[in-house]
Amino acid sequence: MAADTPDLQSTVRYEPDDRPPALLAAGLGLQLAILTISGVVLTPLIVIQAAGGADAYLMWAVFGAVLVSGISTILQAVRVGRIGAGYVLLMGTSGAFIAVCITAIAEGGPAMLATLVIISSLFQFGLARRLSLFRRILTPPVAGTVIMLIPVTVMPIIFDLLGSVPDGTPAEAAPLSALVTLLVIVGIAVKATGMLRLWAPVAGVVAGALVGGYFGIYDTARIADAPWIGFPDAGAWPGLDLGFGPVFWTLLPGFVFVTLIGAIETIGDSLAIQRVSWRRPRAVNFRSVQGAVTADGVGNLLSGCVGTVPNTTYSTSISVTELTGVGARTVGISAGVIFVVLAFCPKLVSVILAIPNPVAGAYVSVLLAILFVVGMRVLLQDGLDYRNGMIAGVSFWIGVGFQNGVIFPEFFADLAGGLLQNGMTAGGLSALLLTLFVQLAEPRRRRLEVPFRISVLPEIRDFLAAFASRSGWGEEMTERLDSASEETLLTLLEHYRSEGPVGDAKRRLLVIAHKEREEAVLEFIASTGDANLEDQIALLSERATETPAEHEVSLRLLRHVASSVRHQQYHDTDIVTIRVKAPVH
Amino acid sequence: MEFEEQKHGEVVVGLVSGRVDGLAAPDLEKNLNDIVERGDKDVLLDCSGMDYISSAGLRALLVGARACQQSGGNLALCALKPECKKVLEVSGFFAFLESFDTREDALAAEQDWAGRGA
Repeated sequence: MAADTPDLQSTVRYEPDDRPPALLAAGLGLQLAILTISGVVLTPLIVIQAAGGADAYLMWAVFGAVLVSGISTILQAVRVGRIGAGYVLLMGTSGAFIAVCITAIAEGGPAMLATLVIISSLFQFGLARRLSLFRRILTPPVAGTVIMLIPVTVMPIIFDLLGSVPDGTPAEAAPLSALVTLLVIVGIAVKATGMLRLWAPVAGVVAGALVGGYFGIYDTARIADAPWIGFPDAGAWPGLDLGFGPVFWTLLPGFVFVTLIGAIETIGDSLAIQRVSWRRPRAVNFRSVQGAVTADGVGNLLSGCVGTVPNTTYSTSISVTELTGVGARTVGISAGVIFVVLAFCPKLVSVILAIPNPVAGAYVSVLLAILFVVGMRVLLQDGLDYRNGMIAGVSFWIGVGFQNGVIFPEFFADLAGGLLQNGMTAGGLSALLLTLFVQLAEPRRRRLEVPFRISVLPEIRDFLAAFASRSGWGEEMTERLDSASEETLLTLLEHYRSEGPVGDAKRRLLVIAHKEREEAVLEFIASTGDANLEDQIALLSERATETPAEHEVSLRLLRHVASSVRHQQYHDTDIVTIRVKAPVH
Repeated sequence: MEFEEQKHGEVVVGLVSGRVDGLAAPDLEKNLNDIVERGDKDVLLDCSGMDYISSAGLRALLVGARACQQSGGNLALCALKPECKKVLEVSGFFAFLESFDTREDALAAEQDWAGRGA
């Protein structure tokens, strides 16, 4: 396994712990806010208009969405305890929730939506806490398939918006304003590079709004009537529906599903932001990922309490950070503060609310198209073998079929209160069940649980010898496994020794072994330390030319015998995954 | 692990056999410290019977080598099996520990490596 000195990312100017000049942080925060505010505002607008909600509720929901986006963004940047990623991760309303939110309001009212958002946020806290357990189920095929199905479920609603204009409007107003929006967004995104490309959505919305204004469908009266500074009518707060009737239970699975899938997007964004924020590449900090999901959950909890649509991380943060080279947390704090201020500026927010439906529809169509591609990338991120391809392909088309009501509707239309009428839920369930089936049908992974101390070496050795024998490997491979497991154990013990007493009965070590083609995959799961093995191995020089430091010896041997070492650190759990290639004769 | 001592002039020859892993390493370290504490400072470890050594074993060698050098002597190795030789090579231990193919070679070269401590 190669362990070259990691290449420095020379484009990173400010890392998360750095403090750039206040003006730079504020400027970048403002840029992030402008780039994303339209998305934050348009989602509740589309949901409430499509569900036939009152204008007072719309104003309240928009206020709540912008306010909660600001608070969540600050939480993500600042990281309070286990809440927050500690990175620039912009939070905002999520288009993935459009379909389920419209259904919730239409069938149960705004109070039902609020309750569903709160309850489903609790699942996110559970996911964040036990993220290490969910990794085998919420796989890239599951997440990717569901993300690809979200646009499938939402697009019909969005396409309806394209023609939604007041009576008496010239016939060409809707198609022209939608077309201009689409062409400007796509044109700039395709031709421009760097920062300019990020401005494509804003430019498209502005261009479409200008065309709409020409035809008189840009609602300037709304802007004129709105105060500069203000608070919406508190009477429009919907409250909570605590009846927990049949409608609640029918809608809850869909909400939980989208919430968990939204959390997967957050996981993906929190992984990506780590990659672009540090000059020297580091192993993924899964505690930060847990923090990001927890803050996402807090944001959704607040959204429900306020009575607005849920939120998630925006990938725009990653693009802007990568392009500007500024990953400092102060930028995230700055963007969050700007959102909070904007929430109390109805006139500024009304500039976006006044956007004609065809323009909003065209804009969201592009976002959903990009979301579809994001789903494809997630699906392909770990490669796509035949098995995962089958899971993704079958599940996707099941989702499309159910969304269009063409798969035995006489049997499934009313099943579980119409749960399967939503393509994302149907396809997601299919992907989950197929993944579970594959996991259960696999040869059982061998497990050994022992106290976490050096005296368990003989037990581990016997366990691995039996595993190697069952896998058809000889003595040479057994020796390699011995060496890999001992060095991993010694290194982990050394780390935890520096934290405090180890070897007491409460600390346990779980060793899991399975064979993947001609490689052994060993997982060591223990309670927490601080240092990350992956990072430490990456910092070793290629050859030990001088007397090696004592703490490096284990790492060097581990690097020698293992083809890869992966160290995932969660709160309360460390998982070290070692791959050892069988010798070739 | 088993450890057996033999004296050859001023050099103590320690015959190491078995596995020098995390459990056995403290014993090797103690054996080497005992040798130095009673006044012998040049130690040759005959590793012809050593089947396996881990980082814990390497640390014991490092501690033993330092103890010998501080007493004005030195630690050398001989007859390493290929797998163990590779482990020492990867860990960079040959930068400060001498190794010989056989015990005879090591003893013949005693003047070169023994008594070279600080």
